[in-house]
Parts: sequence; structure tokens; C-alpha cells
Amino acid sequence: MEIIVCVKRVPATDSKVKIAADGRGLDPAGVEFLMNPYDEYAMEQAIQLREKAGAGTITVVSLGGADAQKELRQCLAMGADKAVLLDDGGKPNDGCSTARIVAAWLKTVPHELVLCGRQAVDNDEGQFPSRLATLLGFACATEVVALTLDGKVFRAERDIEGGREVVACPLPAVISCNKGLNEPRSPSLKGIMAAKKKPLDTVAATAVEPALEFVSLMLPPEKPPGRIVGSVQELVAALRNEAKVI
Amino acid sequence: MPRRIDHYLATLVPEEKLDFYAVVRDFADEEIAPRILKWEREHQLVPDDAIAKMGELGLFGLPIAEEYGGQGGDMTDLVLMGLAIGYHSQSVAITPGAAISLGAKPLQLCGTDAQKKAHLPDLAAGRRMFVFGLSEPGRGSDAANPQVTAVRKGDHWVISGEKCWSTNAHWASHVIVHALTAPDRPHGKRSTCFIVPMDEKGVFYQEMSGKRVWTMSSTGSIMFDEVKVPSDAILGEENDGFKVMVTTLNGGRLFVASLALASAAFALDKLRVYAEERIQFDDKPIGRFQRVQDVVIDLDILVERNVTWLMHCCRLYDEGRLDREQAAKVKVDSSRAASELVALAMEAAGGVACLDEFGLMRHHDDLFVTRVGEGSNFALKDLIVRPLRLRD
Repeated sequence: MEIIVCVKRVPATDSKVKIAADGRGLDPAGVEFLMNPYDEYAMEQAIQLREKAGAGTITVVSLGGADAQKELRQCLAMGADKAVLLDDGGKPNDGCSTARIVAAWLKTVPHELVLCGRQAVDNDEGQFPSRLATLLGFACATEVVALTLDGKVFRAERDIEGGREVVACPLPAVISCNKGLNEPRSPSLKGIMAAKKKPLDTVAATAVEPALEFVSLMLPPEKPPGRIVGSVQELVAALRNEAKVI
Repeated sequence: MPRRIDHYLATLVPEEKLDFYAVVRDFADEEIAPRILKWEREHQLVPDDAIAKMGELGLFGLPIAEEYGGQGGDMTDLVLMGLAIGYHSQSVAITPGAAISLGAKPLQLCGTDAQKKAHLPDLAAGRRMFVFGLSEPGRGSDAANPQVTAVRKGDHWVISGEKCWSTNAHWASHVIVHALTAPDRPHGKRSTCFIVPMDEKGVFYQEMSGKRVWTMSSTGSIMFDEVKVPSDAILGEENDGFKVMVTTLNGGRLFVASLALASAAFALDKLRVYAEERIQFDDKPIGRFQRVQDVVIDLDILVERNVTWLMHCCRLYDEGRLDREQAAKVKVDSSRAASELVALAMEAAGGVACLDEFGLMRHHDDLFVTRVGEGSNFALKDLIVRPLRLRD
């Protein structure tokens, strides 16, 4: 089976981010980047499916700049067979354009099952999986917490409000993975060494018109410093007249 | 906050080795560091689930060849693991460390094909652990003359006596026993190593009590009451046990040096952060005082200098060119300098260093082991001085 795993390089959520000079993106200086945590579940699931089937190829793909090779190498070290960087120089993309670019590339490679994270933790759009499935005309299950394959039919479980939904459908499919699906493995030394010998190809990303324009990006307003009040009366007056909470 | 030692390692180690170090470091930060205090306060050994996780990472099979299910790594990888985990706890790091450098290593160096096939795959996966029975109640530095004896009786051997200070005894499946087999032969040619299952009749293990260093590491006393083993239990050649022991310990010393430097690296980061936070005398952080800066600087110098030196020794070891004196020197110097500077770091921090949660007391205590373990510094200086003498 041909499994495709889509991963994205994102800023670590505990990084202190700064807005770039043009006011429309992030300044990458001093920010730690890593693989989108939800994509790790997708990568682990692909390995487990291949292990269970005893055969299959995992190709991991990322849209971004040359920096994203680090995350692709990490996937190769975890166990992916090959990696492809869709190189667009690392410009910011919305979920719709990303889906169009990846869908265009997928037409050039064999694929039966596409796994990805439920959302990237940078923009938190969560649109990519369903848009990709729509463009490909594939079945789609999102935010999956359990996944099995019976021949060419998948069975996926999703957490829904107050319960769990079970869906099944023949492949091909796009599945987006949620926390709880599995426990992603760390690469072993052997995996890291083997990753050096696995193919990592760079392909120019198809040029698409952006569906969205990032107009501006701003940090949340800074909190004003706390104030020490002199008496209970003053506190009550401040809560009533200034904060207007009582 | 990034560890300062990482800055130096980045210039010393190839990229793929650095990637491996980062995986183990992140594992230690996320899975070990948050739990150490609880384990310590509850007087636990490293719990089974933590050992299992280290096994999944492949840490127990680091320098074991891939054909035996290992990771195919080298001494540099082993030492990087020591630095990555020892930063939080020497006793956690020594668990896979001793399993490799004292348990699997003698088998790798001196085992027959059959012995390697029988044990190495399980050792590499962390499903089985070997312990090296070397020290005895009456034999420490003079380990070449064991009081444990093995006597040939027909086609088998009978082992009697007691070993102690055996690291990892609690988890051990087998013990490599260094026993006296030919008392009349010359020094270095009178002992033999045997592989003995821990569940063999007549083998009794007891955890040594009262140990206040490396508290999460298992240290056992193992009794042999006329234990019968076949001749193919011999590891290496008969009456060549001393050689098995010496070649094994050489590499282990580099690992112990890595633990000492891991403690120094922790103390460096702990003190430089605390010195910025702790405000005294006219609202100044204590890091503005030159006597406090001196300790930070000396720790920084030690870490950069000795990590560079240690990585150099690892390269020589991996090329088969490391002298015994070189391994001894980097161990002696790292353990002694780290002990002295960690004590000074505690003094600079003040009373807070007495608290277990501050972490420095753990490293201070554990550093004592690096001075007396894997060859005591006093005894190792005997080795170091040999090439310096003009006459014997």
C-alpha cells in the first residue's frame, strides 16, 4: 500500500513569537521550529499500518522552504521510506492553496491513503484535510482517534460531542489524525543513521493563486500592569466604575 | 532554556550524532526530569516503565552491532547518552550505561559467536540485562586477585564466594563472574570470567542498603554458594579473565567521565539562571558579583574544555587508539573538577542548594561515585604515572 503523510514545520507553541517587519507574518529569528505535533500522530499511524500489513511504502511530504528538510529527516528517522519537499521558498500559505499544491503533486505519485494532522498549530485553520479530500474526490475522516484497515476498507473512530462516531469507507481516503490515536515514537539512533541514506527529493511547488491574503498580523495587546489599591472602598469603586464587573 | 553544553557539542559532534543526542535529551527532559524528585523521595529504583521506554529508544543496544539487533553506534553515542540523561540524573543514565559498558561490552569484546547470538539481541532490546561481578567485600581496586573461586570438577566448574557493588543487579538476568581459577599462576593470568544466570541454583542477590549516592540505580551484592556451571559458560579464555576485565573497564571510564560532566553542565545552567533571579544587596542579582561569576565561569570552562577532551578520547577509542592512561586521565580530571565546582556552585547559591528540588545536592552526592567508581581516582593515578616514570 502507498501511504502519504503530510507534515508541516511550525513554530514551537511555547516560542515567543515576533511579528515580521512587513506586519503580515512571523519573524523567524530566534523562534524554535518543529514538526506540527498532530502530524506526528499521522506519521506514527502510517508506520503502524505498514507494520501490521507487513508491506507498504510511506512517503512523507511537506510544503515549505529548505528548512523543512529537518522535519522530513525526522520522519525518515521515525520510519518513512522517502521524503519529498514541495519547495515554495517557505512563504505563508492558507489551507486552500496548500491543498491545491499538494493535490497537484499527488497526481504525479501513487497513493491510496493520505494521513495528516487534524490541524497545524501555527494558523490553526484545520481546513487542509477536507479540502485535499474534496480536490482528490476521496473519502475523508477528520480528527480520528482510532484507525484500522481491513483490506482496502478503513474504519475510523472520531470523538464527537458526548460520544464516539465510527465511520467506514473503501480507500482511497484522506484521514486527519487527532491526539489519542497513538503514542508517536522517537527516532532511534539506527533510524537516524538510516535516514541519511533514504531519498529526500525537492520538487518545485506548483504555483497557485493564494485563496486568502494575509493582510496583517498583530500580537494581543499587552496587559496593563497590576495596581495596588489602598483600601477596600477603593477596590470596590474600581471594580464597579472601571472594570464594571460588580 | 537551551543547555549551554549543547552549544559546545554542536561544534564537536557530527550532525546525525547531534540529532540522536537531541532525541535522548528531549526524552530526558520530558520523561525523566519531571519524575526524579518523586522517585528520590519515595526511595525508588528507576521504575520499570522508564526502563522500558529507554529500551524502546534503543538505548540498551546503542553500541551493539545491527546484526545482533543493536543500534550499531559507537562510544561517542554512548557518551552523548550519558551527557543527555546524566544532566538530570546520573543514576538514571548509569542504568543503560552500565548495562552496555559493563554488561554487554565484555560479551561483545570476548564472547563466542554462540554466546553473542544467545544474549546480545535480548540485551540490545533491554529485555535482558547483564551485570559485571567484579568488586568483592575484600577486593576493590585490587580486583585482579578475586577471592571468589571457580574450581573445575569434571566437565563443569563450581563457583563460590561473594561479589558486591554490582550495578544493575536488581534487573540482571545474568552475572559475569570474575573468579580465581589458577592461584599459582602469575598476576593477571590466574582468573577467569564466567556467564552465570541469576536464577541458577546457589545464586543469591540482595540490594545493598544504606547507599546515599546514585539512589535510583540498583547496586547489588551477589552470593555464589557452590554454583555449578558448564565449561561453555566461560567468557574469553580460561585464566584470561583479567584481560576481559581490563578491556571492559577502559571504555566504561569514558562513560563515567560523561556523567561527571553532565553534572557540571547542569550546575552551570542552574547557577547562571539562579544568579540572575536571586536579588540581594541594593536590588542586584547575585550574578553581578564577581565571586559568583567566577564559579559560573569556571564551570563553563570545565564543561567546554573537558567535553572537547572527552569527545577526542571517544574518537580515539572508536579508532582503537585510546591508551588506558588517556581514559583514566579524563575520568580522574572530570570527576574531581566537577565535584569541586559543583560544591562551589552550591555555596554560591546558598541555603537553597540544600533542598532536593534545587537539584545540585543530587549531583554533588552522585559526583562522589564518579571519583571512586570504574577505578578509583587514587588507583587510576598509579596507571597514569606509569608512562611518566623513567625507571620501573
